[in-house]
Amino acid sequence: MRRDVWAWAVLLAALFARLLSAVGGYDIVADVDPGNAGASPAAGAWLGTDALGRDVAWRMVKATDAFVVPAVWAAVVSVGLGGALGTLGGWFGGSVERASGAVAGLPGAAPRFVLVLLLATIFAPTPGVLALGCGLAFVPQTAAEVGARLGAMRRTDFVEASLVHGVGVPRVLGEHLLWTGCRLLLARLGMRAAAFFVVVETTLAYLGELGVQEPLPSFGNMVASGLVDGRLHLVSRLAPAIALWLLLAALFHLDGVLARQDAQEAA
Amino acid sequence: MSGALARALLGRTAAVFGGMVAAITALVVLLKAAPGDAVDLVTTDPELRARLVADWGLDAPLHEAVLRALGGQWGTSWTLRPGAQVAELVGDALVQSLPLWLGAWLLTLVVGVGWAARRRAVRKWRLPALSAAPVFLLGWGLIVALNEGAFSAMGAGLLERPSWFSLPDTDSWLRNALAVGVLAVGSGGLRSFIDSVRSRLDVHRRSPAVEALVARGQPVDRLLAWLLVPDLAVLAAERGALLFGGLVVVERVFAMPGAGGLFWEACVRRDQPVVVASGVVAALGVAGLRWLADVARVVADPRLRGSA
Repeated sequence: MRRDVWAWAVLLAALFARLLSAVGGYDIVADVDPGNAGASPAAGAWLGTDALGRDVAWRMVKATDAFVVPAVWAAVVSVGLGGALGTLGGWFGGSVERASGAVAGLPGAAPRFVLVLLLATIFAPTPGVLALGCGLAFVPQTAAEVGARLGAMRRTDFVEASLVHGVGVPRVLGEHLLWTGCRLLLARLGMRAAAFFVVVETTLAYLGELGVQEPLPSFGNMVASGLVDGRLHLVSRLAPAIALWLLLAALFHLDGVLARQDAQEAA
Repeated sequence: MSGALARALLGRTAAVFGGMVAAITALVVLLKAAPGDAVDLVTTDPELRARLVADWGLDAPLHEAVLRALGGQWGTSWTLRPGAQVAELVGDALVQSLPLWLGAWLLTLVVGVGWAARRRAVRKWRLPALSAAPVFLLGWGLIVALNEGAFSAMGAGLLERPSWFSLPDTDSWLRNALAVGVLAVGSGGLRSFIDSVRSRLDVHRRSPAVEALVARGQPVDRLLAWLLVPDLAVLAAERGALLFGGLVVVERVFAMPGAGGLFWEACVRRDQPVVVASGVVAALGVAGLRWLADVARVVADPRLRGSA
């Protein structure tokens, strides 16, 4: 547990930054100060300033607007839709399982990033559409894993005994199977969808055009501006890249932690 | 070929390609249901509009649009290279992307299986930590480090201008090698591949057959390798499918021509025929990989033949 503290701390820091962004009153236009461009880290600007003299630390805080809430929505879509389809298939089996598997498998026909780009092109590259795309991209995996686990648990003696003793299906399904047997699995799969959203959002902002555009900040477009402007202080250039890498490393690490806990509980 | 094997292969083929046709139908339905009309971007003149709608096949019924998409009748490009045949554009781009995709896929398989098979996980955080970075971030880090390192060395007189300088604008072996490495490692792909292979190996190591051999003091590596074949087929197909998506990013970051870059440009410029063609080709690639994986599994493991 002690070895995992850093990952929880990074995740909490991202959530805190999003909160700070909402209440901090940072103005992305008023912060422009060309006379202070490329300033070194100092008390007024901990991570220095960018090519327009804007405070890099505050822009990093503001950049969490682009991914924290939509990433949660991506997780909700993945867990909600994939979990529901997997539950249907795992509980009923037979033709229901085949039908739910076919529906859940539809988004998996295209590579995940391609699916998100297709949706962003057909509709618009808004955070909502990107979150929906990222969530849908993980529906096949979520449905398959939840379905397989529920299908195995459905045939266990304690489930049969509970049903024979008159315990209602919603309680057996909701409390005994989904909560007790699948909560860590669902949390892990939701975390994967959230991590994928962070990757997609920052990638699109880095590549330009379909992502967050200047003057709005994103870790992606901040990294891109650090690529082209070598006059910036090294700390100012590296800070968004390191923050993004740390966030994703934390999400991947917690995915592994949850997987281990899940395996221990299953054993 | 036995009847069970033939039936299993037929069942898998129908499932995989049926899913692909359903997905392409869904794509065409979404395009038809999308707000606005592509012709609105070009003209407001009613006469010209009607002609373009007819020329571009926008008024075609759903089944005809799906059949056209599946049959490779994608027409001509609207905005990317107006008038050029989309099939030729996509075909040429695919040929350019194939070495990059294949190199990254093979690198993932070799490094992933080799890493997962190590009994002692020495400093196992290193590669996963590197792999957590998104593809674009790894590419960015390498480009910045190599360009600025070489620039400083040239400035200090330690180095002649290298043939690859400066990245990514100069076409060189280093740029291609970096692109392959970044595509293979980035966005957690290699890490999750290693974890999956290791987890399957652990399951097989605990199987009665392997434990019996270990108890007799006999080597188990060949048995483990054979047991791993069906799992590896599925994992390799999944990874291959994800690499199609990674191509979009890597080709943009390293300024390389190919199918990924073409798809991105088509998305940005809303060139619907190229977007549809790229989507169909990607779905076909994914379906093909899954089909190959299913065939390998069914052939390698007779127990799976009854479940098709």
